[in-house]
Amino acid sequence: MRVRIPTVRHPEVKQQKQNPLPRSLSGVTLGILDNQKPNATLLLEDIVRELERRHGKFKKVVRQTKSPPTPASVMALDTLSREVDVTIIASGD
Amino acid sequence: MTTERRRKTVAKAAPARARAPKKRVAPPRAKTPKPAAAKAFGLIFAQLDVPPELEEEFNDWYDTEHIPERLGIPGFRTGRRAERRIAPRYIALYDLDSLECLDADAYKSKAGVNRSPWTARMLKVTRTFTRRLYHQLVPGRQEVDQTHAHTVMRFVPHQTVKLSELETHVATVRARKDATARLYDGREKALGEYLVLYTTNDATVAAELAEGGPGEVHVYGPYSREPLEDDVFTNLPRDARGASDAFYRRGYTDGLPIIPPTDEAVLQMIASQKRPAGEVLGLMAPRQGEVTIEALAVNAVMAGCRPEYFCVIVAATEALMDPRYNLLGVQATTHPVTPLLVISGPIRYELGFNLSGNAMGEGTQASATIGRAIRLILRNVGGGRPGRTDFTTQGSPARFGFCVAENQEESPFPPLHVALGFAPEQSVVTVCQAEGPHNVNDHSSQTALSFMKMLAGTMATFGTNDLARGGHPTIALGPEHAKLLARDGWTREMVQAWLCDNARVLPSVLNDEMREWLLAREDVDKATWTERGIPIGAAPTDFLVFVAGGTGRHSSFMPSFGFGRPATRLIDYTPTGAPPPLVPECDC
Repeated sequence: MRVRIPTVRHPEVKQQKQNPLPRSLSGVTLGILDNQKPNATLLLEDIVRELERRHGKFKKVVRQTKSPPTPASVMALDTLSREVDVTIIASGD
Repeated sequence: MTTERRRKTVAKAAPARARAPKKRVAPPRAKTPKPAAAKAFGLIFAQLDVPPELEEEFNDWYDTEHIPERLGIPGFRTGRRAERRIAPRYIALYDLDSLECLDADAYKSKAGVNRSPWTARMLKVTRTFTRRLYHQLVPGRQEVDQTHAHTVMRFVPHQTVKLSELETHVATVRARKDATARLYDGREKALGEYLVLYTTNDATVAAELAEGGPGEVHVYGPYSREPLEDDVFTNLPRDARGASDAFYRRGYTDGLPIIPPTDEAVLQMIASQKRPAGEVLGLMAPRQGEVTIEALAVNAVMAGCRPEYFCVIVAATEALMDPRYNLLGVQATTHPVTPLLVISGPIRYELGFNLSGNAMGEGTQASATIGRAIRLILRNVGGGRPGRTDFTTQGSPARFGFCVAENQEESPFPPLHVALGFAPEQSVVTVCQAEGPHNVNDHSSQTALSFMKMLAGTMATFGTNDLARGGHPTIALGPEHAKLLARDGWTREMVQAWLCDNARVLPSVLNDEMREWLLAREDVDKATWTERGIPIGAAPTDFLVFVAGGTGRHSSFMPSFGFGRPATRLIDYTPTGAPPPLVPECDC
């Protein structure tokens, strides 16, 4: 008996090369990308607070995605990447 | 070429038959180097299996972390995976400069207690894990052929064979052009065991090499993340249970038995729509699977659909891919949302949908199989797999399939599709983002307003996405409730507007955290919240209202996902006036 396969080819997910992480926050602009999940927001707030406690005040840019299940658009990410050196995201639910 | 012809061709090309040695066979004696154990190549043989639901993650781990990590360790020369249809399904073979590299710190720093968290987690869920070590006797220092697709492994206890016989056999196979072989001796757990490892590119040759001879033989085909090759599925078990199990094992089903999607059945399904099999409808989230008519047809057959139903499936799929529907969110969320298909128009009769009692329940082929086909499409074409790309916390029984037809005949309101702007003679499908149905039991109301208070009060609950985000709830009015509304002069539009104004939750009754979080939102108008409550839908048209079901004073509502909105598509269907293709012959 010959049967058809119910799945289709899915595009390969390519792993992006990670940029080197900065060794300190001195002179670094930090991006905070909040997906608006309540606990993700809390997590990001805690992370920022802890970083400020350890490293003092630093420059940061805070952005929000449109809604939790809507990914940030490529354009929004491009804009953010031009403004910051490192971005922190959270996916707490 | 038939298998028989291929066998003959192979035999002609390779006169020395490649089965394990028999005493009467006297091929030329091999000149094998005397191996020095420390310098011979080493081999790690790992054999393991995982539950079907973890297979994708297991393969991700193996391909993206484990093999690359192992190949980064000094002394690891190659890593190769292979698979077969029966358990244990997967193997991995690593060529080593020698087994000594397993004693080095570089290896120990990534093994045992130092293994990565992902490795530790995956090894916990693997079944039948076997790891054996060998060093190469013949030819001594040669890697496993990486270009050969098929792997045959013959494990032979020392006491059952003379080493010289195996050496001769391996030399014979190595003289062939269509296969090669290596001979190993076991170490540690494999002590006292020889391993003959054959590789070839010809499945027939692999079968030939596995035939007869001493020891236990395992045959493996190439490992691939791509869909299975046709030849695997030409060998599908012929019995219903076996065929269904084969699909289940591959993760293609919802757990229920399936109808095997044979060529004939799939072509029949495709032919019902007069659209080319390869026509691409778009890419389906979350894995951006290419939605073709053929892919939909295969899943429709599996779900048990009749060809007549296929037009509904195509239209519903097109609706699901409407960007406003937000299928990516629906497929990936922790929420128990699932597509609810609401069918309206003349097609309801001709396909035999349940138009009365138990409309959302079991027992009707059209509703059951069309709803199920959509779930299989989301799984197999969209790539929505729980635990991998679909993170629903608890799921919902509605995810097996959720399809209901409007009871237009007992509805005092215009048909849903007419209210949505379609012609009465047209048939449409509306896909909603729905939770499972919540009953609205109202046997007491004597007026429309009383009933509306009961309905709004039931809908305005705390823990729904509708409250948190403002949603698109679906309301299926029972015919008796609908008639009560109509008797008092209520229209569908009045019901929608009243729900928008009154299905609200006062902030004062919410818990502190929820209230604080909702009141902090900046993207909504909160002017009326304190006085009139927080609405569960921003506008009257956000409430989808239709009539479904039969006798009894029950209605239901389906809270929505809250991100995205319903989508409606015309079904490409010409009414024939014919009776339903199949109806139960009795209700006894």
